[in-house]
Amino acid sequence: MKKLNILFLAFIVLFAFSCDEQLELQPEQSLSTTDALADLAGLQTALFGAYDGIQQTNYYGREFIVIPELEADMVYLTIDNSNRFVQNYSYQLTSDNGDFTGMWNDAYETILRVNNIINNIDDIEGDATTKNQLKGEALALRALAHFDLVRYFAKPYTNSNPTSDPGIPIILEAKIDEPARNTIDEVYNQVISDLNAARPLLADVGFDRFSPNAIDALLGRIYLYKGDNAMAVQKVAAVIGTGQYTLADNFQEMFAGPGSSEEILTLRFTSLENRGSDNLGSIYNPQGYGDVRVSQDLIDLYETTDQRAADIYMHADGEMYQSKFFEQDGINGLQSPKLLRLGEMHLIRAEANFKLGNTTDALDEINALRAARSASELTEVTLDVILDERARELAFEGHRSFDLFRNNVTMVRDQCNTGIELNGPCSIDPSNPLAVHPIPQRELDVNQNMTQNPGYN
Amino acid sequence: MKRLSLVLMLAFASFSVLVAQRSISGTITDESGDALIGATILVKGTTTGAVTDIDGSYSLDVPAGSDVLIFSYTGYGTQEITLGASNVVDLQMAPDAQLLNEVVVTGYSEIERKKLISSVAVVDDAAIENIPLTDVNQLVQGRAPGVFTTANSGQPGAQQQIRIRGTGSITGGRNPLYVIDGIPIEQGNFAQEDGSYNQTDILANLNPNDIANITILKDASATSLYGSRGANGVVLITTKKGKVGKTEVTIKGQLGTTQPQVGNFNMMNPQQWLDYERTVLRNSGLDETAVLDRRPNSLLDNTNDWVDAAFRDGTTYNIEAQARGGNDKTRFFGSVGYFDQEGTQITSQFDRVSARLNVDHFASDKLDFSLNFNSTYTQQNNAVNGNRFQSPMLGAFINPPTQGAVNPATGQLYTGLESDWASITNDNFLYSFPINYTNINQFRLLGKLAMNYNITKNLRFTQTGNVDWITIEEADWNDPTTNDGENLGGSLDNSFRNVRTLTTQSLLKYFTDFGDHSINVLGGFEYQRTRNIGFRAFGSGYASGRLQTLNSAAEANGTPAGSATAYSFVSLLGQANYNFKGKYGIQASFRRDASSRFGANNRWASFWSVGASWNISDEPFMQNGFFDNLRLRVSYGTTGNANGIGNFPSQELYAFDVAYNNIPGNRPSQIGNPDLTWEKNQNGNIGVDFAILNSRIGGTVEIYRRTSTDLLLNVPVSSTSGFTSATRNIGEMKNEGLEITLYGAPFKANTPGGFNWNVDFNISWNRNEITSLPDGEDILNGSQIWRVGKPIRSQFFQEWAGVNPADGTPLWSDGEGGTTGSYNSAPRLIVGNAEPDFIAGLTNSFTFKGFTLSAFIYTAQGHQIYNSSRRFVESDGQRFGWNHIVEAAEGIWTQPGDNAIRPQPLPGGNSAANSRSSRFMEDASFIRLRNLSLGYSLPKSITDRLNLSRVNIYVQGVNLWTQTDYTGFDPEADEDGVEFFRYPVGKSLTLGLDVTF
Repeated sequence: MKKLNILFLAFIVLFAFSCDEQLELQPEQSLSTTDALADLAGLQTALFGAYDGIQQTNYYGREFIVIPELEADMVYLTIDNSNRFVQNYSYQLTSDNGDFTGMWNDAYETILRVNNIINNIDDIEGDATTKNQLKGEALALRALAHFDLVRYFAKPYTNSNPTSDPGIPIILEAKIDEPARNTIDEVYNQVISDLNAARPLLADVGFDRFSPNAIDALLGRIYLYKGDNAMAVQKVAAVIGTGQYTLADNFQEMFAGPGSSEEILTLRFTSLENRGSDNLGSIYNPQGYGDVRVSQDLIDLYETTDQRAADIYMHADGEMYQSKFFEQDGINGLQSPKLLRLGEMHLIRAEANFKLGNTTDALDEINALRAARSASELTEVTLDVILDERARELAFEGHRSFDLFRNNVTMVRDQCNTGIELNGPCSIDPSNPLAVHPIPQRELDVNQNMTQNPGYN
Repeated sequence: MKRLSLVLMLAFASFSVLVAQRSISGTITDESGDALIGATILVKGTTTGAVTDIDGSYSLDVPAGSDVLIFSYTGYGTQEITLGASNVVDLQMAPDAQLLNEVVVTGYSEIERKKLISSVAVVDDAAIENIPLTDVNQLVQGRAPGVFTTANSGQPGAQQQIRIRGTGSITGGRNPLYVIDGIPIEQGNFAQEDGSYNQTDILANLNPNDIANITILKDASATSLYGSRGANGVVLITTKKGKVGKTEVTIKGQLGTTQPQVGNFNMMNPQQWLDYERTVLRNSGLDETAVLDRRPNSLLDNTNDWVDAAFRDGTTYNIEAQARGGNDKTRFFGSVGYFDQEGTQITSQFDRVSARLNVDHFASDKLDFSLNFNSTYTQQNNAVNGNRFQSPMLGAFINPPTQGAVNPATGQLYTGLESDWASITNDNFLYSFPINYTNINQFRLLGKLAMNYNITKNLRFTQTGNVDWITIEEADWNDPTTNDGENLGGSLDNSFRNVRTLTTQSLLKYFTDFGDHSINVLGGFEYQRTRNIGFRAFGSGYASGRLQTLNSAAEANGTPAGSATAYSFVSLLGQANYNFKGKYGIQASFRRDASSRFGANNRWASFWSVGASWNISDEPFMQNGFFDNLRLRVSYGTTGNANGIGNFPSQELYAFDVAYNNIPGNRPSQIGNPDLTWEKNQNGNIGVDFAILNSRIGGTVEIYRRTSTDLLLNVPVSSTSGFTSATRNIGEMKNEGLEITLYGAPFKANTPGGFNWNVDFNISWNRNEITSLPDGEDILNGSQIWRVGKPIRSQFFQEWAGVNPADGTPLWSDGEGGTTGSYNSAPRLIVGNAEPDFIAGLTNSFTFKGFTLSAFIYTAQGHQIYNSSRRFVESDGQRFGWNHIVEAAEGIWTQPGDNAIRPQPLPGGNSAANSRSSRFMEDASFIRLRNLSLGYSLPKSITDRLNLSRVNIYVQGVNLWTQTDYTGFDPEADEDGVEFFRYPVGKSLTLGLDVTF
């Protein structure tokens, strides 16, 4: 009897230990980080994952393009709205705003995705050209994400004390940490150094990924934001000088889909990435939410001949809408945002030249662009003229509030509180703390070294 | 495994003993002297037994060496009779009053209540039978002390939350382990994690009328045998078994209605709405012409009550046949049932077809088998949450009452896409919701076969194999003519999932009585493996709404998704019980567990418990008789928790669920932690059971302390890391509580059929406190804070300080006794706790002649709910154009000096006044008449004439009455204490008939 019990127990124990292998289960839909990044193919996949990172709705999917417009004067939020972006238009900004938190999280998630490429690629065997391309694009995406964060969450470089005012934390490696904010200047330096490191590694593999020209174009914008106008002119001139890009013959057609002659870098959204009502254009289209409508302030800027005004139309309800982001591939509101295009390059060079005192060059450049858009020739150039031209050319593309505040210009809504739009302030001075977004409360809650922007605590 | 069992059996086949026998016979009668048919007589310590026949007589052969017979009959006290010289044993049995002899299932074994050391709560079938609720958890609500159940949704078949003795984990799993007929089973929601569904519960695939009892294990002496999965308590569900005797067939029929209840939530009527919105416009500075232009009187021409339109009275049907019977060799219980319940929200519905067969077969004195086989198929039309345009939960409160449902131009329902449709959803749910469905069809098969072999008279071996097979098919259709489907030309989301769990259990039990000593020893091995695979595909572009398969889609919308995951547990367990003279008992349990979920560094863990009991009333010094029963029980032990952290929490992972330009991408999806291991619980329990006045009054008082350490915590981290949280073993928490259960019989009949009044009462207090966090630092989690010294459900918001009389803007507390008008500078403070101070349940039941009346009242007191819905319908103009609650227009600021309750309403809102703050925090104490039933059994004289055994007719009411000051839909919110346009539970009335042949 006893013997059998012992036998039985021994059996159980043996069975238990043989079961150890039953406990070695591996995930079937994920790979360990080591496996995922073990070869060049894995890193290639990781790069596409990083491009996916900037496509999220809180980033270039919608919010990062719509919010800089709604916090300015060229569009308004209708009074009967779906309650998106209410805080932004009415400037009741709070640090628990989900759009700001989302942008912060998504940008840093993208940074993690590229850091894992940048910090692993040198240890991987493989073709040097492919490796360079991967590393170059990863560095460029890292620069883009840092730049977008610093312009969204910190004071403009040109309207701050960049070497002492806080920017955002620079993150160069995967680490769970509580980083403090680097200064604005440090962030710009890092961004520029990443882009300079990326450029020689890259070949041009298409307008929907980073190319050497896209690096120069982005650097041009960054130097303009930084107030280094000579460098801005130099970088933009390099892009324009390639002759690879030409201004579109038909402005409307350019926005019908990706791939026009102006595009230097376009973030491509395919029909498989249709987000329905959350497509970029659906916030403008009456078939979608249709909440954001065109302000008289913008309409008044256009001459009737101007091709760019044709994007604005009156809907059945008597209000003015825009159709720039109307559809793509037949899908309502779907849009592949043109992150860098030739029209902006001309405007960058004109503005930088103007600030360098080369007013003739600036005026000529503006007029050349206006001619291409069927607008009349101007006779003088001022900062206001340039800003107005930017408003016309880059309407709804996510530039307006940055352009005003980095130039220390007050945001003024002439169409204001008429009853058709949501109540909101009719002007915001660049010195108003609300001109800078709050650091997300969530980040402050978990990061002891994080500091809030003035006016939010 | 199987092979060894065979060897074991062979080895012991030769042990059979040939002995002399004696024959015993007799008659068993009930308290009134009538024959008891089907009473069981068992020779103690053996499986030899007999059953009384139609005259109540029996006879059986008792092996030599055995001299004790055990007489039992459901509802009557089990009696042990020691054989004397006579070979005739007649017995009059008495109804069981004290339940002391009741056998309690404690998981791997069973024990008589008088020997019980553990803290358990038992809810038997009488309390749950015929209540038309879909889910087991709803049935135990308020019935068992220390068990807090809340309904997240009124959707029939929706998931319930159940917390046993408080919340034991912060971000790990907090649900108990469910065990059906001895086997741990899968639980929870297996439908897509879409976020827009009301979460389903696979437990709704169990027919509650198949349940014999539900036993809830609360302290470590009971739960430590479940080791790494016992920390949050264990819910043991035992299904009905066959009975020896004539086969009884019962036909059950029910017809009922469920009515919506939206509590104290009142939306504006068209005139109120128009007046209020005009006020908002005037406040923005518009002149009267402009105001009337935007909100003209013509809006009153075509109106609708959207709340009324979103809800309905739902009908419930249930038809069911049960059969049970058997002889001394084989007993069975079988049932088939069809249950159909309409929810109170339009189109929401749940039906269930279930079949069960439980068979026990005694092949010989040594070998017996038991089979439990259950298959169920449920179909649910899920009421989707408010993140879809078509959701009635959204439309009911967003659609302005001045928007009619019917388009006067066409005489048809608006689709919502018309340009004159005023609601921002661009959708008329009355049109879209009936044609856009979300079907979740779940099939579950639970099959268990157990083989028991008595190796010797005292040693019993049990080998069990169990299959838990769940299949889920889902179809989510959006018609091309509706807003949710229009953009894609109609869309279909189809998915299929299969979850199978295989369990094998080997148990060896040894039991012996010698002299005053009684010993029970249990040892066993358990292996369980679960695999979960599924795929999902989307189609879009449908020529018409008439073809609704993926085949008829013009194109794939998005890439098809597929997933596969698995986990396993390997366990060894043992338990020893010793009892001396029936007075002193001690018990020790041990379990060693390993799980694939944890890193190799920390894969195995051991759990244990010790417990003791003392029957004080059996001591000589207590024999003066005040106490019929007085028992003291103490226990201490450990358990673990390995749930709610995914299947691979220890690994650093990359997921491949992203793409750019249609080329697949990957992304870091999880921070690794190779040291991750079980959350540990230490449980102490002291309980006293008592009964006085001939057991007419009795009860149990228990106190406990449950300490949870190495908490599995999704610690929020700086998102500069690219992650928002990391799972770590960190922090400590404790739950302390007091539970009191009382029963009494204020009125007891002296004759059968006389007036009886029974009272059952339970009340429990639980205090939760976080006792340690990393570096003692607060962790903020959305609207809640985890702070040392504070309960886990501490609500952490800006504190509302009313309206500034000067300008009608909002004020918040500045935390220093003053106020501030800036939301951003107002500090967050702990302003409430979502856990009730106490919960209690009171049941009064009366019987007279054939009538039974039972009323069950349930209450939870002292908890706060954040009524988040109000932010949207009392938004001071921010949600301009939506509907508003009537109160939104009351007490608003109009001129300087007003001491207003609500700020001046402005389009876009007034200075973020409706941002998250204690303004919307409310006391949610409530008292609810949870169940009221009135039944009547036809007298025997009539049933005999009809050739029937029993006929019962009854009326059941659920949630008929609620008393609360809470202004939301339902004060029974989930544990987070946040209510946000939830599908409220309804109140129901059901008429039923049970006929037994």
